[in-house]
Amino acid sequence: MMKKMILEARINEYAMRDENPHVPWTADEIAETAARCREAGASIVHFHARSPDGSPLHTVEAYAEIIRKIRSKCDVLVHPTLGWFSNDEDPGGRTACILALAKDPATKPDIAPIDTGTINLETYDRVSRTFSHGERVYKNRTDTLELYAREFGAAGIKPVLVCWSVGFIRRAAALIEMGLVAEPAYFLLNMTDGPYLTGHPGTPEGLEAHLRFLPSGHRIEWASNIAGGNLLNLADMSARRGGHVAPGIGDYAYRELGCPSNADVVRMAARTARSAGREIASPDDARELLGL
Amino acid sequence: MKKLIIEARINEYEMRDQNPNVPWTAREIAEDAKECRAAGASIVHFHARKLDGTPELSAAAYGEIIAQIKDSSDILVHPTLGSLKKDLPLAERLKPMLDLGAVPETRPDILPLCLSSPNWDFFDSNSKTFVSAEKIYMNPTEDLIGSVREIAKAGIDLSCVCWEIGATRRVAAFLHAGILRGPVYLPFHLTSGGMLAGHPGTQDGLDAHLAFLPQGEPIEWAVLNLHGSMLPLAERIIRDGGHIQIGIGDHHYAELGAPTNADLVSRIAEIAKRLGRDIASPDEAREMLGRC
Repeated sequence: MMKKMILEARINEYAMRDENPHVPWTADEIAETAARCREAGASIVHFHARSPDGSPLHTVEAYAEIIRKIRSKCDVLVHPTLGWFSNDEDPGGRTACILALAKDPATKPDIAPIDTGTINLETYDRVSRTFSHGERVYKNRTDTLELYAREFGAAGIKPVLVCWSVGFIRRAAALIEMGLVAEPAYFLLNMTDGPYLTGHPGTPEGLEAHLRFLPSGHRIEWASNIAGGNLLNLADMSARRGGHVAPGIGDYAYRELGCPSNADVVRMAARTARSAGREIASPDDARELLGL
Repeated sequence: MKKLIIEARINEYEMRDQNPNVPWTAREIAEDAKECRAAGASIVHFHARKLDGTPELSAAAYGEIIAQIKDSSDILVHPTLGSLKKDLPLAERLKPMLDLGAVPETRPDILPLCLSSPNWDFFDSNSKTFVSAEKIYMNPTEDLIGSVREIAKAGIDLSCVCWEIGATRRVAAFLHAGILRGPVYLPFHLTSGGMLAGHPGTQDGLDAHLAFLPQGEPIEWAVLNLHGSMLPLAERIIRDGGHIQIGIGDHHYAELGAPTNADLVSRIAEIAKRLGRDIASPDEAREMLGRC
């Protein structure tokens, strides 16, 4: 029997509501969304704290409130952001919020991301043929990756190694070699579509070009993800290749499906997983698969 | 089949401990370029060096080298933008080369841009430590767009170096937006020997780039392998219509008895001859690569 499949719900990122009105912003909305996603089959929820107007919010208090509210509603594993490009100017300070949350078991994140390299994160509009955010570089110096891996290891938080290119996978493998990331290592293979040029395209070929470089000789689990594209198209391939999926309306509005909620998207991914012969992992199953 | 462009990458910042033939002075570089031209190279890529081999960063030194190369050969001249000065904004790295371009005797024929911002780290697999783990090679997209325009305005050809699939997608978007006009010279920058930022210098590493080469676009692709041998890949590249960048600046080739740059170019030319592909002269290369 194939191992169970982890569905990670990526519920809001920094998406606004113009394309899909179901993006949760407040702590109550995020907690409610997490509970609905849990019912639909998600075992992990990834979220970003947001201000009432949707702008990025990066305070310990905001994250603590969200995590408490999620946990009061369900047992889903909690995976907050480090703040992405909105919080990369002070490399040493990026993990401060996560480490503060980790001091109290009630607010300790189960999982936290390490993006294992640096990317240009512009957008390109093919209709107007114009670039936006051309100045934006999401910086992740290698020495800070070592630091984050050590900090998360000491705090007992499972890192997810977020990979935007082949070089990211090679660097993530080096962090495992160094003993900084425990096995099984959890990789998020992050493809990009729509306005984002940065990663591999969200196609079978784009995913294949990641899978070919996953390190052999280490125990790893991987999940696929697409910023700006329909991940349901890769759910079957991910299921059959022994991977996991991380869908959500934070990464893509799914307008072609009528702007569904996060729980709707998770449910669709779960259906595809089951038809490919994969049972859906509970949070406890996910803990075991990922070695939490 | 179209003719094969061989670009000799003669010194980078390599010392002479593993291969004593690395050229450092203007005279040595010009002599090496002339020998590479005689062996079949149509382009020479070089870095200016001081007498002790340390990086020489002055524009005057580059001007002297370019003048000496042009004095003794018709090979196309492709200097670096000064890759050790990665912490300078791209426009400041580019300006000295544009200034040299205003004078026919010191005019570069080709200038390189890296279409992404990789971490510039090395992983020592013996000691399991990273070297230069704090360096990011910053090339924000808006700076790239500005530099493409400046280089085009100067009438100098462009080399669009791609370390990752997202960089190739960026080239395609630049073509789509009319920022670049073809033909585009597009080297895939494979990395080996502890340099993790690119695809590995293997068939898989090359395949994973070629799968995303935009079809129907005016692109002349080439391959280099920083810190690894090009020879296992050469036949495949020559058969598939790509071009080859090789030299002891990228890899010492100690396993071949520390050859000269011209020896390596000769080897590639022999393989091409065996496979029935003619070698491009500098004039023919210029025509194939056109103007950006």
